[in-house]
Amino acid sequence: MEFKISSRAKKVTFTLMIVGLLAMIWGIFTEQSYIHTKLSEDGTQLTLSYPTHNNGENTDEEWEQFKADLIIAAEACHIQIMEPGAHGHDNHGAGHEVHAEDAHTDSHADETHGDGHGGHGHRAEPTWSISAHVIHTKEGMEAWHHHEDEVLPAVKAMVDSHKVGMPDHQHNRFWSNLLINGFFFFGIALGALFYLALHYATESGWGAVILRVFEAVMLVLPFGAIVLIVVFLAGTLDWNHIYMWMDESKLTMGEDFDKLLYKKSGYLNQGFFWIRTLIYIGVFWIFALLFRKWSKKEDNEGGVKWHFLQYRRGALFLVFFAVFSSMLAWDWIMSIDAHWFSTLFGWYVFSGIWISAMVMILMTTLYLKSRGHLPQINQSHIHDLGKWIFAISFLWSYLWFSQFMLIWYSNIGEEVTYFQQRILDYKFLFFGTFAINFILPMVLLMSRDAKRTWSILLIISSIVFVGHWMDVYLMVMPGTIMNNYQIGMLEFGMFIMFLGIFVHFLLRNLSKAPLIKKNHPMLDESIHHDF
Amino acid sequence: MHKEASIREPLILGDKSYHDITEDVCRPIENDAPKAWYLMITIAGLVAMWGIGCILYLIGTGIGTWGLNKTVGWAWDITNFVWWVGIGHAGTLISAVLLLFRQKWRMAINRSAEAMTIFAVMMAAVFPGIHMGRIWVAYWVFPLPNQFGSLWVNFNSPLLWDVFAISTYFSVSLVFWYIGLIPDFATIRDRVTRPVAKKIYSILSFGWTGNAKAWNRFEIVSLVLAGLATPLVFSVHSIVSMDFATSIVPGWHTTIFPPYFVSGAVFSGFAMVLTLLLIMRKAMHLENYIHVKHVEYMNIVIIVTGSIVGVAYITELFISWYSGVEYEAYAFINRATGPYWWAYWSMMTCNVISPQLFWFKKLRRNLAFTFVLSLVVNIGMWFERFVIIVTSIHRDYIPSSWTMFHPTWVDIGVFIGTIGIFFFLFLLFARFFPVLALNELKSILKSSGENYKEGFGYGEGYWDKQAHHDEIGDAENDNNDSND
Repeated sequence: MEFKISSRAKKVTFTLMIVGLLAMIWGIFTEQSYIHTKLSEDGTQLTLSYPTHNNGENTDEEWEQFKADLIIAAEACHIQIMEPGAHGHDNHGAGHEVHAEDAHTDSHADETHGDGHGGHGHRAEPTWSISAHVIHTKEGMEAWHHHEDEVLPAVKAMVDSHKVGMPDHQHNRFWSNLLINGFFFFGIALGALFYLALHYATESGWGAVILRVFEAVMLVLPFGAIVLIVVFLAGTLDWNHIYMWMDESKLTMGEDFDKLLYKKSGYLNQGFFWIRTLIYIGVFWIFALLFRKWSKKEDNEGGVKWHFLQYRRGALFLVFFAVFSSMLAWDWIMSIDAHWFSTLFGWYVFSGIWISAMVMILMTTLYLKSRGHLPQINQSHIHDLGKWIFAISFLWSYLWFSQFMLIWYSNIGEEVTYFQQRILDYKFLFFGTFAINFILPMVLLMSRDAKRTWSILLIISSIVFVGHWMDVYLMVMPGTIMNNYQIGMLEFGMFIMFLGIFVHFLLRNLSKAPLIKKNHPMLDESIHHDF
Repeated sequence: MHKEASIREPLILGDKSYHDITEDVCRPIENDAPKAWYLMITIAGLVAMWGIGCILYLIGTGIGTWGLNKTVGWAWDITNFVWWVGIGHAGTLISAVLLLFRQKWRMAINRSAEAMTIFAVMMAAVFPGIHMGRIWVAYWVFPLPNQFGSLWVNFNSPLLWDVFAISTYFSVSLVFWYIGLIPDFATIRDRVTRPVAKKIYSILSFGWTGNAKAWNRFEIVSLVLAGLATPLVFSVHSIVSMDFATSIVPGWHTTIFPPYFVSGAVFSGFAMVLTLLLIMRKAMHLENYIHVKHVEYMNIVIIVTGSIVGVAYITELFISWYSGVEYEAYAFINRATGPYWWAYWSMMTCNVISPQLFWFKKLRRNLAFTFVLSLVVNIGMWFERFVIIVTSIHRDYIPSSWTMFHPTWVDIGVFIGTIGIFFFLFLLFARFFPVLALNELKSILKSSGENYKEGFGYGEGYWDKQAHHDEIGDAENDNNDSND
């Protein structure tokens, strides 16, 4: 049975791509640099600073412009910004341009910025200490009546919410998003490839009628791989500073010297990194192509020869996958927080990859069935896919919890920073993601009926899908743009666009081969699958 | 009806009928035990008595009779505990996880694997019990309201989590095992003639009638228990691993521990299942039910779990270097090259390298080789726990207190003794309990029995046609056939 992409599907995927692209472009042009805000303990003084080693490309003029913008924006809210030096009730020294080291007294700030990327030489960190009071006009008095102590926090919020800021020339947020989406969608294809190999190696029979869907998903592998390579290449060319260990100045004696990175440079160095990256991608792609080739051969030639070949090669693939899946997680994701380490990290990332892939496979299967294709797939198959999603979300949650709990419990400085940062800056997202990815499928997919009801499956797995995108987001963002994060047009647009492209390729792959394998020896068993 | 692909190997060999299955499983229970059984249970009993003697001596004299010292405060005791708990993992994995995965081959091995699990967990529980020193206050591990002032359990301690995890695991495994036994006990009840035996099996079978409703309930309960037991398979050994991993001791504190311990537990459990079943199938003439294919499947589980453990070893080793933490790196260098190098390399050889031989189909289908390798894995997994526990602490932060651990005869005696008790219990099980889930086995006879698959000499698919005749009549059947 052949599958043709309907014009409606084409329209949908292209709309996703175009809407996503537009939103993304909008997002890129409104990116802002990170400005650190800190309210003094008595609440009378706000310190704004601009960590140059994080995003060191804004000029002094832009900094002055930012100050002027903030004063104007504040005035619009009937707030007058004062520089305490001028006012006199401040003993912070003569000037208000304080050096970064003096301004950053809270340990949290040290922690996030200590990992700072970039390294465009050490420039003094511009710092601006201000206080503010209400402008004594009628409107101002009315607007802030009894709320005078909230004036300074309001100014802080203007900066934190990016209402006032400086344009980001370095596009950290853009590159981070590219990494997130590249990895997420690469992971989906890789997860499908893994599941295909697992299906063969375990001599599973039930899923023989869905194997073509697995194949179609896994063959989108190059898309994510190319995006990842672009991100890494940009890092190598110094266009982005996602990987701080790529910065040579940290490895040579000098101001920027980082002893830990120097110790790790036997592994974390560009040459070896590129060799590993290309080997992972190359091996995965070769296996994907071979599985597809043998699968088509089986269609044309019949016999059990190709089946048993895939059984043996499936097992071989799992060996490679067992090693590479952990290593690529260290290389591509864990090395963003290059000082940090966790032995479980690779398995944790793998479980996320797997569940995202299963969601994609389930969605594709439901789509095909809703279009009247694949009559051989019955409710039992759908039920089984639902069970996988249920089971792997447990696996993911188990690994998430194991990693988190052990590090939290032991509370060793060099390890706990990772979660400290996520809890301090990303608290809602961090725990929210865990809740969504664990509790939602556990509660709502537990019953047999739920796993046989398409609408429930569709809703839960869509939410879990986004939840696992958020999981990747939380692996990347805190290490690349610290607490300067937003979920705005850029994030939304790029995700939508990537989804559109992924689905587009996925449908094309589906249309290139019959939707059911013809001569799979367990086809009959699979068609009669019923429990 | 379910169809089974013809490329699948049959799971029940020979020309067996439902009645043959009943006969084959009940024969050892109904006949007199062979001399070998008496011989084995005598040996096991003597070893068990020796072990109990050692335990009594230990309780009477004190923990000082063990070889523990100020630096190595945990050694064989906890090693044996973790080893036994690990072995106790295969049973529930086979009965619960493989049930959820619809693995029919589990039916030949689940009963004895579950029995093994229960006995192994009992042996595991011995060690923390006697380690308390004052075993008569062992109930203090439970959060019981008490009159002793501030005496209360510490909920922050993973050792307490162990109490809950293992007691839950033990209860659920026991219930699971027993529920499965009920219909089989009823079968024996209906067959035995000796009045005392009849009375006992009658009590054990809870008045099982075998009607359709009872079977329906039976299957529902099995599925629910499987669902409950599956998280337990993970939780027990995860929590055991947290005894170490929540600490800040280099070599103990590593996040990969929970899943890696679970994998290691399944690995050692399957090795013990193989050790026991390879003897049992011969001794009790069950070669048609537990045959080469079953052994091959178990050996594949051994390769997979062994390799996962191997990946974890390498990951730990690598990250200890990558972390840049000197103490972490030293803990691992010391493991591999320090005074306990022989333990480390025994572990590596037994657990990671030797199971790779099962990649060769000839070897994983060779029963004698499998038996030897299963013993090797059992030994290797004991060494793994020893390596993790002793080598991580015998050289601590002050070189002046560096020391070695030397087991005393009590250490050795208690360990050997638990092996004796374990085998004693298992031999009793093999003598008086149905060692195969005979009623469950019958459910796969027609789909996976050799003769049914091969069509009684009439060729493949013959039985399917016959079955259709029985069920839906000729006209419809012809229709179906043409569609097929």
